[in-house]
Amino acid sequence: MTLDNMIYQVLIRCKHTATAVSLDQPTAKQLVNKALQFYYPIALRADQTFYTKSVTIAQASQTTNEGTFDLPTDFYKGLLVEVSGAKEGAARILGHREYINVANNPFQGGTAANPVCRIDTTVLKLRPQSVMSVTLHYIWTFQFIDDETTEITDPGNGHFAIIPWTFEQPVILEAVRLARLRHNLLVDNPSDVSKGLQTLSDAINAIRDANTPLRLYGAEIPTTS
Amino acid sequence: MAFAQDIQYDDALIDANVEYARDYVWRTYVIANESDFRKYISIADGASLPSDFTAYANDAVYVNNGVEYPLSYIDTEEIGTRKTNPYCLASNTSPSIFFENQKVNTLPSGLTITLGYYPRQPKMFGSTIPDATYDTMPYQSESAIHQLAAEYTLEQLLPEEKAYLLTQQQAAEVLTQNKAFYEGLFDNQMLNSRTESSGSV
Repeated sequence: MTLDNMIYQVLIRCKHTATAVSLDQPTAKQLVNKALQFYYPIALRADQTFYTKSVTIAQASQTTNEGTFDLPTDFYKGLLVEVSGAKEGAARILGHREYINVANNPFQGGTAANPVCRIDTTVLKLRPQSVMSVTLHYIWTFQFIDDETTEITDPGNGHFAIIPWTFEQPVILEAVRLARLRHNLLVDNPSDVSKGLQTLSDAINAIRDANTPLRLYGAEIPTTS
Repeated sequence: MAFAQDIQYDDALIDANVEYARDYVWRTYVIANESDFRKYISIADGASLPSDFTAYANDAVYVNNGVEYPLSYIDTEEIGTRKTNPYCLASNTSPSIFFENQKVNTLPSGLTITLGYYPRQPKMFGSTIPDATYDTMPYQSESAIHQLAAEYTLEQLLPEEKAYLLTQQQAAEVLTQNKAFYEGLFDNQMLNSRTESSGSV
């Protein structure tokens, strides 16, 4: 289903809402994108292989002991850095503190047989600097989707769909929920304080849930939205 | 009480509701009896997953010199080891499978294998609606699909506030079921495949 079709699915479910608060196409697009962002970590926990990708990248620059590689634009989290000639076929991915320790102690690594690397926001740093190319296996993510012809749940974007098809219905329902939440917030009904508070509490919970830091390993898939 | 002529339904909405109801019931049936829904294809290393792919069925076989060898599923983190460590090197008689780039990948590379997976059911809107019961779903699922589709559609008749609560409830139900679906498939089947002895041969 394309983004265009998903927006349509949201609009036809929100006829009353649309009349009351003029839910227009751009707003619905924002809501669908919000819903996609909300479901991304949940879909990722459900099926990590859907978001796993690999790419071979060449060294962008180097210093006397360290090479720098630019991460792909859709990079979210590194899983494996394959280095030719290394033991176990890969560089160890270290935290920044560990990495500095290793840099100061070559017995721990940083050699051709035992390379180490760290991920710094948009670049990958790797020791030794003699490694000119790596195969990065990583989890990808997506930005705000503006192009309405983008395929969301079916293969089509050079094969990459945005979210597994099993999440199509939850995404639409979440966007509809957000549309109705927005509608409730706009209803000027000061006499019904409890309703307003409930709505606000829902909004805060939704924001909190959506921003819960992602733990990939050993994390449970949440059961409620 | 609302009468049919008062209800403004889009065809697309009915289509979507029936399809989502069918999908929901399908997932329930897969969890209950996956063998009814497993499908096999011959596929080569590096080929895109089939367009109806939903999840791996923990059953992939490579035939080497007339003998069948099951592929063991590995995590991404194990790829390097499986390629280089002489103690667990993948070979034609001990091949591995992993999924990346939404493609099938084998170790050693270049194998053509028989892959078992759970295909999604045919899409309903935008094309001729298939007979869900006879073509794709077990006969006894019919009433469950109708009931659920009606439930989804009823939402449109409710006042705004109740519709909001129902939407929340529906989303939670689907999510709970998705969780059971994926946990059932991945935990029970993929994790079990770590032992080389499992598989279809």
